Amino acid sequence: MTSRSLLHWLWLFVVPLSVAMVIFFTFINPGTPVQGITILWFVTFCPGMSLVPLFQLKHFIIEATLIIAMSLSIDAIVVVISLYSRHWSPFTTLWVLITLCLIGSLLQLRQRLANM
Amino acid sequence: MRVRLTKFSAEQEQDLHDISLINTANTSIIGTAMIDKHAIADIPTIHMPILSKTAVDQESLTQLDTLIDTALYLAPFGAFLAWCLSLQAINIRQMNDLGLVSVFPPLLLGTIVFITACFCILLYRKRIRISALCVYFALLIIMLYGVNTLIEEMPRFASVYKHAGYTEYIMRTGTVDPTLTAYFSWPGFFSLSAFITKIAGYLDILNFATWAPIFYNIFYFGPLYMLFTSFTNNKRIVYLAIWLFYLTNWVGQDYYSPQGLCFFLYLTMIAILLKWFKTSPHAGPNSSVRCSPKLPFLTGLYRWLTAPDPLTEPLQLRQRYTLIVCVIVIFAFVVFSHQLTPFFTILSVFALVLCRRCSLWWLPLLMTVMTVLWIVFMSQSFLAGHASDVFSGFQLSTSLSENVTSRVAGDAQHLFITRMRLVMSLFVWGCACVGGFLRWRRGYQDATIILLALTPFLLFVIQPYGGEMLLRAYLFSQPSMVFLIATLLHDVPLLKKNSWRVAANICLCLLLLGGFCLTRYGNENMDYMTNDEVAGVRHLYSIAPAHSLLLGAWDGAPWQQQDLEKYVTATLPRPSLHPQDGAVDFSHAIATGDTNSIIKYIQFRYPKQGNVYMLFTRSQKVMFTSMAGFPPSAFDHLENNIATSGHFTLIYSNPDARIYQFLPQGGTR
Repeated sequence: MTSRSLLHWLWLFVVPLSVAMVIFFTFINPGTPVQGITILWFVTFCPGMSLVPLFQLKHFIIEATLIIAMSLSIDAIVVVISLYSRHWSPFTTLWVLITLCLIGSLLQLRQRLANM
Repeated sequence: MRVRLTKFSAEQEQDLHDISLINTANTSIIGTAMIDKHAIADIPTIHMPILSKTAVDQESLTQLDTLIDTALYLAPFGAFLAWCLSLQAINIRQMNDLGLVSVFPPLLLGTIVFITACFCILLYRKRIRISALCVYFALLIIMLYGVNTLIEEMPRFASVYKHAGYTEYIMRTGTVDPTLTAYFSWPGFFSLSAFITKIAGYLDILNFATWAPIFYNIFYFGPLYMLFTSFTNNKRIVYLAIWLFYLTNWVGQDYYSPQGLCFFLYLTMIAILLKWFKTSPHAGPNSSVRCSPKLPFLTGLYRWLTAPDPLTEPLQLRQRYTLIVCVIVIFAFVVFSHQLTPFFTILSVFALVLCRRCSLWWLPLLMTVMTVLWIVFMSQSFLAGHASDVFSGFQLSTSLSENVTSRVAGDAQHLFITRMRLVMSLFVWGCACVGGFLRWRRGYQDATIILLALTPFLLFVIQPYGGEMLLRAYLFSQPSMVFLIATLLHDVPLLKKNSWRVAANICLCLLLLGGFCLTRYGNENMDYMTNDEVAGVRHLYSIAPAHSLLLGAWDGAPWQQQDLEKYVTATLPRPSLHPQDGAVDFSHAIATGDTNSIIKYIQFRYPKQGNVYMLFTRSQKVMFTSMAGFPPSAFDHLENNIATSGHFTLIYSNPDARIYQFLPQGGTR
C-alpha cells in the first residue's frame, strides 16, 4: 500500500471519528471548550470530506479546497432549508449533517473496496 | 558542429519545461497537463538549449546549499518567535489615525521584512521545497492578518457586532425578518453562523469571529493555487503570486462577513471552471464569425480573446458531472448569502464563456436564473425599497464620487491613508498592466487572466454600492492582477541572473509590504473596539426597555449585537429611519454643538418613543474626527452641550463609553 492510498484510507476514517467526537461533545458531554472546536472542525470539513474523495481528484490542495467549499455549502443549504421551512432546530440539522456524512463515508468505503 | 551545453537555474528549467510542453508534437500528456500544439500555435518559437543533467540533480547540492536550505527552513520560526515577543511592546492606546503602524515596534516590522526576504530567496533556490513554503505562508498569514486578533481586546470593526446581532436574532427566533435589515433577504451566511454558534455552545459569534481573517486567508490559499496553476506550470510564479496576494489584500473584507466567505467560494468556482472546464485546445478560433478586413485590430483582438488556453486537465466524464454539481451547489450558497458576489461570479463566468475560455456555455444562464429567482421571490421586501438603486443604470459619475472623491476626506492622517490606498491600488494595477504587456510581447495568450482582471470593474460602472464598489472590484480583480505582477519580474529580460531576480522580487515585495501596512491597518483606530466600549453597549441593552430609541452620536459604535427587533437604532449622521422624511442634516448642529435641533428632532420624530438613550463611545469619536472633517474638539463640545442641555442625564459612564437618557420635558433626574 502506497503512502497516498494509506492517506486516503485514513481520510475515510476521519469522518466517522469526527462524528463520534461531535456526538460525544455535543450530546453526551456538552459545555466543554472542546465542543466549539469539534463543531467548527465538523461543519468546516466533514460534509465535504465524505463527498469530495469520491471524485478521485488525487491532489491534496485541490481536494482540501473543494472539501471546505462543499462542506460550508452543504451545511448552509441544509440550514436554510430548515429556516425557510419553519423547522429551525440546530440539533436536528446537526443530525441531518451527521447522516449525510456517514452515507458519504459508506459510499467511499464501497468505492475503495471495489477498487481493491 | 559544436553543441554548447548550458547550465540553467531551476526557474529557467521551469520555463524550458513549459516550452518543451509547448513544442511537444501533437497532443502529449505530461504529468497531468495535456497540451495540444494547435492550441499554442501563437506562442513564439524559442530556441531550445540543451539541458545539463546536473541542473536537476539533487545530489549536486553542495554543502553550502544544504546549509542555506536549513537556514531558510529555520528562519521563519526565528522570525515568528521575535514577532511574538515584539507584540508585547505594542501599546495600542497610543495609536493615532495612521493606524497600527503608528504603534508597531521596529522589531515587528523587521520580522515581516525578514520573512518576506527569506521567502524570495527560498523561492529561487534550485529546488522548490513545498513544506518550507507552506510554513512561510502559514506564518505570513498569522503575522499579517492575526496581529489585530492578538493585540486587541475585542473583535474589531463595528459591522462584526451588527453581524452578531443578525446571528443572535436567528438563534433566538428561528426565523428571518427581511423588513428589519436587507441582510435577512440573503440569510445563508447568518443562518449558518447561527447554527454553528448554537451547536458549538457559544452565546454569540464574538467568541470566534475575531479569528475570521486568519481562517479566511488560509481558505483563500487553495483556490488561488488552483487558479494560478491553471494559468501557468511555473510553480515559482504560482507561489510568488499567492505571496503577493497576501501583501496586497488591504481592502479588509475578510472580517466575519458574508462577503469574506463568498469571495472564497467565488475563487473556488472560477478555479474549478479554469482547471477542468476550459474550452478544448482542439476547438481553435470561432470560424463562424467573419472578421472585417477594414478593422484588423478587432480581428486581432477577437483572435486573441478566443484563442484556447494550452493548459488543460484531463477529466473523466463522471468527475466532470460531479464537479459541475459542485459548482452549482456552491453558487446556490452564494446566491442566498450575499447580494453582490453572485453578480461578480455571473460576470466573470459570462465573460469566460463569451470569449470561449469555458466550455459550459449554459452555466452563466443557469446562474442568472438562480440569482433572479432568488431576488424576485425571496428578497421582495428589499427590492421594494431599493428598486431605484438597483435598476438605476449606469452611474459612473456617482460611483466615482462615492467611491473615490467623497472618501478622500477627514483629518490629515486619515487623508494620507486614503491617498495611500489610492496610490497602492494604482500601483498594483499599473504593475499588473506592465506584467500583462510583457507577457503579451512574449506571445502568451492571457485573455483569461485579463478578462478576470477587468470584469469586476463593470459593476463599478453600474452600481456605486454605497461607496464600496471600488473596494469590491479591487478584491475580485486582485488574483489576476497579482498573477500578472508575479510574472512581471519573471519576464523582464534584464533580470536573467537569479540573484538579480531575487533582489528585484525582494524590492517589489517590500514595497508592497510597506503599502500594505499603511493601507490595511490605516483605519484601525476607528475599527478597534475596547472592552469598555462593549461593556457600555451591553449595559445599554440591559437597561433600555423594548421599543426604546437608541441614538448614536456618530457611526462606528459596537452595537446592534442583540435584540435587533426590540429597539429603534439611529445615529446623528443617519438620523432618519423613515425614507419619506427626506434627508435630515445635523452637520451644522454637530459642528457648532447646537443641541436644540437634535432635541426638537427627537421630540417631533419619536414622540411615542418612551425612552431615548444617546450613546457616546471612543470609536465614534475617532471616526468623527478622522473621517468627518470636523474639528477634533467638536465631538467633546457636542457631548458637553448634550450633558448640560437639561434634556439629557448621564446614566452610565466608563473611560470609553457614556450613556445619556433623554428627558422629554427637560429638567433633572
